[in-house]
Order: sequence, then structure tokens, then C-alpha cells
Amino acid sequence: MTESRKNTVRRIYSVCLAVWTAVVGVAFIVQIYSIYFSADKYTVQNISAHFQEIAVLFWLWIAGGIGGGILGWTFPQNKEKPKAYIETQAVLEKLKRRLPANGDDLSFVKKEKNIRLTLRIASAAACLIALVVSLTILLDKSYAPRFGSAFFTSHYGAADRLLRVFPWVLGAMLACIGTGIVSKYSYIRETDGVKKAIAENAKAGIKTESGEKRLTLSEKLAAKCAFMQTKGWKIGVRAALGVLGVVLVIVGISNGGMRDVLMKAINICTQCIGLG
Amino acid sequence: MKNFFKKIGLWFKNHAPTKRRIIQLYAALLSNANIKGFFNGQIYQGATKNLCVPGLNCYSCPGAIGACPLGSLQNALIESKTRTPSYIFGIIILFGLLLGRTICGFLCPVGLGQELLYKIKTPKLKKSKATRVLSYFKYVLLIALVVILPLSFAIPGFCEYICPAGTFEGGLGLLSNVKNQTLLAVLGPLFTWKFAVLVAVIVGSIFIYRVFCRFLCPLGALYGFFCKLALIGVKLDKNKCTDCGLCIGVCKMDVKKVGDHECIHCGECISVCPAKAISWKGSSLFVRKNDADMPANTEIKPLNGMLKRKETTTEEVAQTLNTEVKENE
Repeated sequence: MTESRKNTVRRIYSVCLAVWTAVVGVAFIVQIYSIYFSADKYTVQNISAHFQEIAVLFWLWIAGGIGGGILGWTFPQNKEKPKAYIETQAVLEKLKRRLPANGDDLSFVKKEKNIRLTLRIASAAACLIALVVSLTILLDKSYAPRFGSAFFTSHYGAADRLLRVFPWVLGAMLACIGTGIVSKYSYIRETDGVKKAIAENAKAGIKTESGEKRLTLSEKLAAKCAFMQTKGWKIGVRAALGVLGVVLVIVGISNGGMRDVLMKAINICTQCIGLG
Repeated sequence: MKNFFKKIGLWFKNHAPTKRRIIQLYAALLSNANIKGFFNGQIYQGATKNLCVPGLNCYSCPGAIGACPLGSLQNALIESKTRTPSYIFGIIILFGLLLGRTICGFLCPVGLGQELLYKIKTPKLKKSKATRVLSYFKYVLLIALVVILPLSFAIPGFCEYICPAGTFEGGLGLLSNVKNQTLLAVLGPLFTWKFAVLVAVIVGSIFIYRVFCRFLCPLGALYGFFCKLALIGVKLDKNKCTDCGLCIGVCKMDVKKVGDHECIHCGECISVCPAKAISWKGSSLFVRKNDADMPANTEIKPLNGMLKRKETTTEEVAQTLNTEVKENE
């Protein structure tokens, strides 16, 4: 069998297994919720009856996994050669060093910079708002849960609070992800523009040799804190932290902290099991 | 027939576990060495539970012989009004200082489970800008569930609402024993939610490398603070580094550079670095004459499962690097 055919077989198999995995996962979640909402709740008979419904799905998935192993053995795949991962930003910075004034006076560079700055400010604002709202909800002592069930009202409505905090955190994360993705394309556009500018400069006879590396803000900070990278400083901090750690452990043993750990660990932790 | 056995032998040879995998297995077994507990449905109550294990391992697992550092931290914060949580702070500082996130790469049973699940051959979601942003979500969980909820409402938020290790090891570990059937009667909405989280993490681990460690684990976030100070881990020699990006390319975590707060020090980048700029910290102390001490023009080639060194000329190395750079461009 040719390598391309083998690859097709592998691809079809992996996609099928992926879909099947997702189906089995959803089936498990549906079953556990149907057990919870059923009249019998968590009894051995009820659990067995519900999971028997998806037993075929599960065993087929196991068989699929084993089949994959056999497939891998029959059609061994060549190991992929590791590919370099270089950030678009780093490539751009390198290219810009070949332009006069690092290309800062070019209009498209300014435009892309402004786009990225605006997005960063917007996502930072979204994070700040999410943080303030989340802390207000989490720390509000007079908070009244919206939902009436035992799950939502127990422990000062903690689950209810988390459910209210979640959309804010999700929103902030999505804003950051969106900023990251848009910035990536902004860098790509800018890189293309810079490449064109370098080519034009070369045609016009303007020197395009790579200039000095311009330090970013974090690199400038790192340069100022270079003493923290020295061996002596690191050894000092390590020694201080080591002493602090040992002292804290000794204090903990003497004030009963270690006993607390033992007492919690030798009794069944109801929270961990999911009893609450 | 002879060929068939030869093929099997070759397969086993090619799939022989790495040293890291063996250490992970030993660590998982050591953390859950109370095998008797799985049969009698009881959790271990010996004195070793005074101490925490370095990785995430639920202390309600019938096999656990140590305490979970994250669970202990949350409970210590709950008790902090009556007692300073110095013991667990000290333990975490010492673990972080000694091993940092090497614990995630070598000693955490949850990490091992996820790595094995990732071996299932399905299409994988690779790292990107989006996953890098998501990797900061674990810090949100650390602040909200591990610090604020225990301090403000006396709830171990992470254990209660998220921890898949607790559901799998503690919950299912105990409930699977017929002697603990009485526990079934008290299961409610919380267990249902946590089971759903567990299933989501398991399914996620098949598609995304270490989905829990990267996006959800507050313990990894804590150990990440010690990335620059940990005594054991990988280190980068900036003088030898050529910025080729192969190390970041081969790494499946959301690292920006070798040894940063996302790096679990698995050491996979060491073998791909063409300039031999990556090595183990303190390798001169605990590893025999390390690759770090070898000249940059020495190439390591795997042969019959053993690492053998082959001398290459500087020109050859330069040629390889040039080809790689051209390919990337």
C-alpha cells in the first residue's frame, strides 16, 4: 500500500474515532444527568440500568482504540520532523531592523500598531471589569442566590455565585483570545508590508542591512534586573526561600497545622467525592 | 511466522517506555501504594498522611498514602482564622523550590493519565494564541476557588466544584467498592456536576495535550511561580541558543521559551536542540558527563534504542540549520 493511501486510512480512522469519542463522552454526561433526574436517583440498579444503555457505545469505542493500536502496528507512521515555532512578532521585528528608523514612519506600520494597541486596551478593560464584577459577586456577604435548589443555596450560594461569575470570566477570556487572533493577522499584514518595503528599498538602492536589535519593554526591564540573573542572587533567593520553607514547616508542626492535614487526609473528604 | 515475531519485537522496541514515563508510573504507584484500600474500600489512615505528595493526588483515594497539597492548602486556608497555614505553605515552597513544575512532568499521576489518553490516535488540537490565553485560566481558578472561596466562605472551592482527580480517585475509587454502597444514597447534584467535569476532562485530554494541566490546574499555576528558582528542571544556555525555535515547536505546552512558567520540564526539547543549548539544571552534579558539556557540533542519533554519539562537522550542522531556516521561511 502506498504511503498516501496509508495516510488516508489513518486520517479516516482518526476522524471516526474522534467523533465516536465525543459521542461516548456526551452519552456519559447525558446518562449521569438522567440518573440524577430519575426517581430512583443513585441506586445500584438505576446506575446499572442507565449505563447498560450506553455499554455498546463504550465497548465499541474501546474496540476502536485497540483497532487503532493494531492499525498503527500494521501501518507504522514515520515520525514527524520537529518544526520550528517562531512567533510572527519576532520575525517582524527582525525584518523591521532592515528598514530606516525600524519602519516606524511607515503609515501601514502605524495603522497596524494602533489596531493592536486599541485591542489590547479594550481587552485589558474587559479583564478589569470582569475582575471587579467577579470580586463584587464573590465577596458580597448579603448575596441572595437566584436558584432555589439545595445545590445552589448551600454554602452561602457559592455555586450560584460561581455561575454568575462565569460569564464575566468567559467574556474576558474571549476578549483576550480575540485580541490574540486579530493581533496575529495584524502582524502578518504588517510583515507582508515590511517585506514589500524592503524589496522597494533594495530596488531604489537604499541599504537594507539588518540594524541593531531594538529592545522591547520586557527586554529593557530584564536588562535593568540583570543582577537577578546572576548566580549569587539566585543562590541567595533560593537559600532564603529554603530557610523560610523549613521554618514554616517547623512552625506548622508546632502549631498543629500538620495534625490538621492528617485529620483531613485520614477521613473521607466529602467535597472531593462530590457530596458537598 | 518468524517475521511476525520479529515485527512484534520491533514494535515493542520502538514503543519502549522512556525514563520519564517509568518515573511517572513509579510516582503514581508510590502515591497510591495502599493497594489493600482498593479491596476493602477504606482509605489509608497511617502517619504518612501527615505529609503531602508533590502531585495532585486525592487523599480520599483508597490507595493514597499521602495528603493532596491542593486540598490541604484549601483546608488550611479555611482554618486560617484559628491557625496560621504555615505548614502547607512551607511544604509548597519546599516542593516548588526543589522541583517546580518538574513535578507536573514527572511526578503527577493526573499528568500521566492525560498523557496516556493523548496517545489515542485522534486528530489533535495544537497550541495556538487561543490556548496560550486559555492557559491563564488556571490562575483565575487559583484566585477564585483556591483562595477566595476558602477564605471568605470556608469552602474548598476547587475540590468541591472542579477537581477531576477527586471524582475519579476519591469518588469513583470508593463508590466502585460494594462495601461503600451506603455512600450512593447521599450522592446529589454536586456529584453529577463533578462527574460531567471528569468526563469533559477525559474527552478533552484525548484531543488536547494535558488539557487539565494547561488550563485548569491551580497546583501547576502555584508551582509555575518557582520556574526560575527550582533546583531541578531544564535550562537554556542563551550564549549557545540560535533562536531557531525548534524547542518551542516540539513542545506541546503553551511555553514562550524553555523553562518558563508553563514548562513542565519533560526534557523533550533537549534532544531536538541543534545547538545543544538546553540541558538539565545541575546536570554536572547528578548526571554523568552531560550533553550540555558536549561541543555544539556533536549530534546524538538514536540507534537500536540506545543513544550513540556521532561526530559531525561544523559545516554539516550549519548546512542543516540553513535548510531548516529556509524550510521555515
